[in-house]
Amino acid sequence: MGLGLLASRALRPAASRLLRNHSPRDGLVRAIGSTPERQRPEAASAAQAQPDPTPDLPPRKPLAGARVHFPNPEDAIEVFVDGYPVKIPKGMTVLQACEVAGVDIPRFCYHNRLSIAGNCRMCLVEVEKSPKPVASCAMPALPGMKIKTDTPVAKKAREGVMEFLLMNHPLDCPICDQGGECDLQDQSMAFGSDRGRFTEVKRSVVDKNLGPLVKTVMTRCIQCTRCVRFATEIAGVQDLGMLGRGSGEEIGTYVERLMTSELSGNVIDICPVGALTSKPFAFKARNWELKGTETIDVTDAVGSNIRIDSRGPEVLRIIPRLNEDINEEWISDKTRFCYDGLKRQRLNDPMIRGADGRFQVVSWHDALAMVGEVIHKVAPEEIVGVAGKLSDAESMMALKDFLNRMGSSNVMCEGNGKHPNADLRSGYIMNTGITGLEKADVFLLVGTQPRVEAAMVNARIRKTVRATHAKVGYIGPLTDLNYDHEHLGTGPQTLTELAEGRHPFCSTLKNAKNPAIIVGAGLFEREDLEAILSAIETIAKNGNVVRPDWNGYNVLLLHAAQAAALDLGLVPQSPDSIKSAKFVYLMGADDVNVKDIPDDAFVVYQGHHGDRSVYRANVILPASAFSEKEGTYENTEGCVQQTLPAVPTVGDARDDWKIVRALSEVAGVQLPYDSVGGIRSRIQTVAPNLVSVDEREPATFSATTLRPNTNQKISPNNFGTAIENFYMTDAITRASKIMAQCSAMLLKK
Amino acid sequence: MDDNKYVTRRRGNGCSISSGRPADPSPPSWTSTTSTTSSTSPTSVPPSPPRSARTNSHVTNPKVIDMLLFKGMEELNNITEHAKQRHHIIGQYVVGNQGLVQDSGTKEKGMSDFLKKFYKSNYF
Ligand code: SF4
Ligand code: FES
Repeated sequence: MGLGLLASRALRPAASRLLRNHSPRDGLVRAIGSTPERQRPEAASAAQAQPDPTPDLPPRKPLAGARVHFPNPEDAIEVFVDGYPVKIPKGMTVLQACEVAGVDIPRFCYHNRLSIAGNCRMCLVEVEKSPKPVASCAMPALPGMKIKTDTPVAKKAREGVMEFLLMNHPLDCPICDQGGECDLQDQSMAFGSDRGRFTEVKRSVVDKNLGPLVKTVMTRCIQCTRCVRFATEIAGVQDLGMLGRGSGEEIGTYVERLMTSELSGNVIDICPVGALTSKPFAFKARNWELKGTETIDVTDAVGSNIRIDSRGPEVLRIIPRLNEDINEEWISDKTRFCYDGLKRQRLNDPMIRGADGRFQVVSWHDALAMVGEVIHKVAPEEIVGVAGKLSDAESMMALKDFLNRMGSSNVMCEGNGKHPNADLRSGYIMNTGITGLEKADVFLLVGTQPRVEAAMVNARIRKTVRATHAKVGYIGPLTDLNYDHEHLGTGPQTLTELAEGRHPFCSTLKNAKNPAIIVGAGLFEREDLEAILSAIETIAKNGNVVRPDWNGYNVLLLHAAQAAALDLGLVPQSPDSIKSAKFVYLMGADDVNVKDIPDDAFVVYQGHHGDRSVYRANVILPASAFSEKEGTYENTEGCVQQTLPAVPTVGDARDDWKIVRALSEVAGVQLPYDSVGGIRSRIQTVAPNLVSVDEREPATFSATTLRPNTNQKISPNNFGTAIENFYMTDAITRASKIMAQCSAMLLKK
Repeated sequence: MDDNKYVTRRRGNGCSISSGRPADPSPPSWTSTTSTTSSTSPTSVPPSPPRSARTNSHVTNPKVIDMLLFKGMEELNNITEHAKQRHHIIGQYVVGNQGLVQDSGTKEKGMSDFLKKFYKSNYF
């Protein structure tokens, strides 16, 4: 909330009314601080009690362009905010009614995604016929209510609350990391008095250790309990709580322990003051020095919307952006804190491994010339390309085109397994969409642990379970899900029982209105994938999961590149081609088993981090990371989004697709595009959905057999865990010190 | 005295002023106070200061040399006294150096425009 905005909002209506009733000077006097009116607010409001003439202000618009959704048109009620009639659905609070009327009510404890606490009293407004000001966030709006937000009573009330809040709040804004984006700072400027009357000693509170991510300065806490409510309601952990009473009230962890949620970083954003701030960001920068770049996250397949805050060439922090369809306003800790990995272990220059086994820095010219020469010495079918889990669609398209031109069709993407089925889009994306999960009433999780694979999807499931008591059945190894669930079994055995209708959960599925099956992409690596998928299909058929109006068959992907790779048809011709390859092109692929690559193969590694595959590479081509390039990514629900460059590339690195394009020319098979625009029009011919950015293209409906019948046998091996360590899943997060600290401290069993 | 050492390095090649002492290979102390080491390595910094010195190697007027020397000292002081912020230092001495791009000379014949630009920089 901009300070200027707040101040002018506070000033404008007041000034115009006062101009009518009083001398102009009075109207201008009140900026900050007590005015004579506020010293005796009751008298002033009595003087004003005569009915307001029809207001002369221009009609106001809801705040931030919010739209009001009337679930039931008969339930609309009318209230008056500062004399304006507004129509709102029944059940809204006074504060929400004011928002619809375009009046921003100051608040600390109220947060529209959390339950209502009503304990800060900052949102006091005057309601006609009510003897005292009321806390608007907790008061339901009633028909005909006359709400007044800028009367002397309301202003005095706010001023008083502000004085109380500041009584025990340290005056350490100059050394506080929240300074400049602090609700308390902003609101005390807009609504507070210019002095306080408190002269005693301020209280102080011992800081708590919440782990490597959240820094606490508990003396600054104003006891709004947003963090407690976030932890219990959204993150689903009972880690934080309120201890003590009165002035001894403290936020803490009851016993000395760390905050163990994978969403814990979000308390930094919701804390209205500087009590909870980011530990890695502490004292690094002031928020007004930072350049914000709106982009997306690539550390998992959710594609959370983020803003990268950078100063000069450095990424200093990552914070979430609102996107109701994907991540609402939260992001996982991995997304938020992986950024220091962007500075470590980066590949700066092209390198060639010399005869002595050491890397030598060479020019791009020499590096490309060498690769271009070698690739012509091997037979086309011995050329294999692997795209890594962070690859964008543009580079994957270029890689595929390049290798096809070299005569090879062995191009694959990490994580998609040996036998990816790229023919039916509904077979590899989340068909309900992430928001669609909220409509489901029964979930069946097959071989997936959403809490570590896609924390934001898990948060959605948790939200649904909390709101509607949806049932969750889970098949897979023992795991920690932060909502009620039934552990049905650990492996394909249970799946067969479900498919044959022998399992008690079958009736739950059958009785469900909107059942959703979520299949983990970890299963893609299994040899018996076809058989497992056909068992799931039988379950889907029996449970009526896929219908024209509801497609509850979902695949939860693991990596940012997976969906686009399948859309672009990165499917290897022969599944084990890598074992007989003579030339392997790893485009950011760090999770291929390097032991599979024959010893005499020539390995080109193109990527941004000196991660696992570098040890096997013969040539290194440095590429830019997601924070440095413009790239298209498709998330697990099929929503296409783009990253934007926030910082310059390091060293002599180049964008992935440019490298492939340049190499193609050196190798004599020049690709026909020279610009991002060119490559996007090429993508359009292959997968048109990948060019409609920020849109989610649902898969075409197909109720009939999703895949050819298989005579494969289901192997009795239990389902595995796809992600062992939530904090370290790719080259960037593995290079991050913060993530390493998290895995050391938080994953300790 | 300590400052002098860096002046030598700063104006190292192509400049007549030299204290005759070899450059100290350990990272300058300010790299630890500004923790620039997280974005760069000590070895990648040294080429930048001499390069900026070399841009003035044609200057012969002693007055101008004096002035350049003064400016150099000032810059150095700003760095060692932390009057310069970390991101200024990084911006000036770590990124934006074109030193790693090699001139490919006559080999460029027959190359597409794209490839020529590609060899020069990532941004085109
Ligand atoms: S720590 Fe922050 S979010 Fe939590 S109660 Fe205190 S002020 Fe509110
Ligand atoms: S916002 Fe209403 S009491 Fe805190």
